[in-house]
Amino acid sequence: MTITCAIHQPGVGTWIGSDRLRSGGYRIIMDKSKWVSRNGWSIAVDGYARAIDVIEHTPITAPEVGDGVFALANWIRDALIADGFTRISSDGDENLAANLGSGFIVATPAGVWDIDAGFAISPIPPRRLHARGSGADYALGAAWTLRNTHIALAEGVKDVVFDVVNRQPVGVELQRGVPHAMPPSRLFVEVAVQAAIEHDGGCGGEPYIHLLDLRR
Amino acid sequence: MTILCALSTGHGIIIGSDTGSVAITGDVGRQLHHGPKFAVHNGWAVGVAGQMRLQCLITRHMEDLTKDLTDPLDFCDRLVNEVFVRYDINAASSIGARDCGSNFVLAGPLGVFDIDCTLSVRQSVEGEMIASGSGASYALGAAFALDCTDIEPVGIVKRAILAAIEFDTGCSGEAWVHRLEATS
Repeated sequence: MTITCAIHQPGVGTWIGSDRLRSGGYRIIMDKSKWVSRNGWSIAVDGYARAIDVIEHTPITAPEVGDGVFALANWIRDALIADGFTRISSDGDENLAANLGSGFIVATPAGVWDIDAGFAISPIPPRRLHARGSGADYALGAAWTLRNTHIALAEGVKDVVFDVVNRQPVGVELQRGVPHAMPPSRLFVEVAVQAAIEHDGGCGGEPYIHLLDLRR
Repeated sequence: MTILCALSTGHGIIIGSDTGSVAITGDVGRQLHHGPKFAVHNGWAVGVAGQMRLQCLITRHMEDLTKDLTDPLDFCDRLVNEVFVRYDINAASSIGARDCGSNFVLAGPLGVFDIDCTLSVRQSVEGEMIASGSGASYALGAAFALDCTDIEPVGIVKRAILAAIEFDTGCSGEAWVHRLEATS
């Protein structure tokens, strides 16, 4: 019951975002996002809330970024199993993969990867928003539409933020009939997270948006 | 496996859908061109997300379903009597209420109504897009993204349907959009 998303913008870095709601038989707005940083990796978790706590606090050092995403996926899997996560059985299926019930987005300033609940890794192309969690469909619909709509920055505007109160981007001027101009990747993430929070009862709280800056 | 959208504005109602369908033969699904998933008659439009057979029957009986319609519950009663009973459409009761297996969007002179598989009715407010079917989440996300823009309602509905077609494997074909004209 989550929205996590990321988009890599070549030459700039990777924008990451999430909601802040934890829910089960309860609803808690957290004072933190659903992304954690370990050894140069940013990791978002959907599924079991305990999984993100384990990834954040496990004493075993995460692989270096240079070791690759496969090594990180194995580290996540081993950390969860060591904490007592067990394979989810599925009636009738062969269930060969170790599905532990949580999925992940992994981001660095240089890229974005999906790791599914069976720990399969899928690299995400640059400039394409990736989303996971119960609100992912709303987020993908919002970002895709924004990307395919004529939109241009207002004159003199260098950056765009999302006005949470008024539910609209500030600093953009939407114009019909003008040549396609790609809005900033940050706007995709902000609107995607907001769309999920608006429509999905499992998402909530203030959007968390952060740039993993390639220049740092 | 469908996307249905309806948007009520101060200047009328815009409806739309995808136009593809999946025919199941054995275990194999084939994409077919089906056409709009709304039937339009007497100033009313009825969209069906679910069984194609039901859509065919509703299209055939639109005169009975919409002539002098008083309210959406009147439509639901007619749907049961003119279609479900007449054609022996079974409704499962595994969730307590009778589940007919399809969801509906009803749009016309009285407004835009989301009617779920148990024939529970909810009316949309002006400016709120109703979406139903497997692609509804993508469509609602798209409409949210365009909510603050100056894009015309027809463009919003079309983009919402295109988003559903882009991401939902059950939606296909083209984005069909129609402005609902009031009858005199």
